[in-house]
Amino acid sequence: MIGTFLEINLSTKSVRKIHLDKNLYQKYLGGKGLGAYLLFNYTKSGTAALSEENPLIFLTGPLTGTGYPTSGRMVVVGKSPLTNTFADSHVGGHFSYELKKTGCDGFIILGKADTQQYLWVHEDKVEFRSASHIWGKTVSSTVESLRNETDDKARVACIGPAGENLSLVSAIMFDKDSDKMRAGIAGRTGLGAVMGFKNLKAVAIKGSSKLDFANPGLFSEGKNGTRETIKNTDFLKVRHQYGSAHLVGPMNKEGFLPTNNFQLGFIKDGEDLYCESMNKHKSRSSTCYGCPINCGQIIKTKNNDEVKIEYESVALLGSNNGLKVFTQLAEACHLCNELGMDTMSTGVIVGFAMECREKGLLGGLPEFGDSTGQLRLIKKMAYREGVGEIFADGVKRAAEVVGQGSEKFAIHVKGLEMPGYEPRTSWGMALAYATSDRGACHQRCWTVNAERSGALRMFDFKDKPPFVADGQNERAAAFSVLVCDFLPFSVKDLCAALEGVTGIEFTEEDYYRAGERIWNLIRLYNIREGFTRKEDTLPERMFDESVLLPEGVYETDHMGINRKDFEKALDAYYDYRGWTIDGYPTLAKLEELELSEFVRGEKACGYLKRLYEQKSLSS
Amino acid sequence: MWVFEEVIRAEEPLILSEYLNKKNETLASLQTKCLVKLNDTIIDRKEFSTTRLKPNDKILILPLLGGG
Repeated sequence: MIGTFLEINLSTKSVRKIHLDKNLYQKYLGGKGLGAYLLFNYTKSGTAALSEENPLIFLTGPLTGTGYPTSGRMVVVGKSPLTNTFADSHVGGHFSYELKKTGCDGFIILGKADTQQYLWVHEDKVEFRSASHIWGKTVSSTVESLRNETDDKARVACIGPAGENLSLVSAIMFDKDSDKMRAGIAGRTGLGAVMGFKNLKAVAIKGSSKLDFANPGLFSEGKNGTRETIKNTDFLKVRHQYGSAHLVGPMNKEGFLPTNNFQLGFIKDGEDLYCESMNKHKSRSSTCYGCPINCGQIIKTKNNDEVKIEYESVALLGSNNGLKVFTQLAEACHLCNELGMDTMSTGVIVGFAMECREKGLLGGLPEFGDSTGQLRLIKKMAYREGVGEIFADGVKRAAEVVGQGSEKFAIHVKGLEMPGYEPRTSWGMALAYATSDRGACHQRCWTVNAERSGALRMFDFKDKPPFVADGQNERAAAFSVLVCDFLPFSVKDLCAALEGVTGIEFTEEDYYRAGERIWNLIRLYNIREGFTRKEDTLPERMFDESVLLPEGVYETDHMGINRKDFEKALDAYYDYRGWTIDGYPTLAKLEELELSEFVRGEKACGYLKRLYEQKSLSS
Repeated sequence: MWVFEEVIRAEEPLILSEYLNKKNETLASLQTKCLVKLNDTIIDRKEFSTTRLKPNDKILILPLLGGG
């Protein structure tokens, strides 16, 4: 039965099985959308991210584990301690399938354990076990230990030392890179610190239930249609061969690749970072459950450690920090994975630290290009040692400590460090980053290829507000169904598969409408937590400084974003969404999306109720 | 980067959604993440079923898969 969750209370060491109304899947699809609904209802306005009241919610989607292409996905939801926004951190691999095999669709982890614990979930039984012997261990060591003492085929989600030390850029790690089966990382938004705060080192899991299908024939129709689409998509051959890192070369040549803390859009003589060079160090491919794309590129480091490399890690631990040697950034990536840190945020923080050194603002920091210094700083951040204490909680907070104007080059939106696409080259990404629900994120709407192809004009906001809004809505739906960002599919096939699994009829219109509903619900959540138009912006560097672009590619070799043009684009974006000029969804929009219960009536919180009593929001 | 571009011929269906459905039999063109431009104007997905095509209209379909 879809909608079965285990509510696990760490404070009381109790477990309750709950069944969610099937209608919630019709409205919110599952995954991200259902997670947003649960987070809204489990927390009060102003709940601190690092508090017993912030739940950590592991969710699968309706297709997870079914064999539908890329159905090995799941998501962790909570309030982010890094951004204080809604947080959804998505993860591939094989844990999700194991979770489904326990007969559950997810866990809602509440409270805080009084001593260090891990959970051993086998079938739908939950054991609370002491984690004192694994506290302090790195990720791979933790995974090995827990398999030894539970089941050698158990899947393990855990935090590393960074999460234990409540670093706000710590991740939740799923299995380990050296596993034969692909591991995954819920990297973004610092949810590793939420797990650390709860004194929860890990969740080990093993199940054997079979999945139910309401209409297996209809499901197969949708699945086979999608497999056919995959076969017809040439682009995926490149993705299979090189993973997302195939983008490094094109991004560098065309000025999208952040370099030296977003001071340049390309790295000179950076060819060793390209995917062709990466593949010289490739050990093997690895794939998530149910995925025919098989994009995971496992690399061997100098020390013979295995690590999976993605574009973002190359951009942000590599060029962004002045590194031109592939093996050096692979080592940094491996270190982050062992310590349980988000490679993206960590890369941007180190870049910021390097610029602080360049500007003479703080001592004891590495300079651009210093790979050993980068490794040292990463370790210090994870263990909060020395200068690492300043940087362990993200670039926004680090700039508040360093001061001296460093806020201007702290590269984040709403506290989340920026991904590896230069927004002054991609103005679509500028708008997408600024309006993203969890801070700077490239996965809410990726406009880069639309701009490169000329389909959207470069260095211009024309057409971008509706394009970004529609893209965000659609991705909200896809991340709720829980398919991979790289999956090509027709919504018709997806809806057939969804109905085949759940027995709920979904139309294409339902899918897009649910996406818009989810985006608006999360907007309401963020408004409830104090976010306004003011936070829908970019780092000052993007407005005040031009980025250097490679010579001869464009008519100009430098580009900046005019703040007034950006604000006008934001006006147009809000208007397209049916929001006020201040970025609040109007009551009419909420009614259209069946969300008005969150601002009116018994279930609505006082703050939102008062806000929506204002005349300006009622129309 | 794969972009599908075509000039509409007289025998093509007259409604954009019908045209896209027909193309979907041979292309992965109706992927969720795609951008459709007609004569250089982006067409909102909501308008697919009401947009009429004429011979010599230029249509462009760009899949937006990617990112990393």
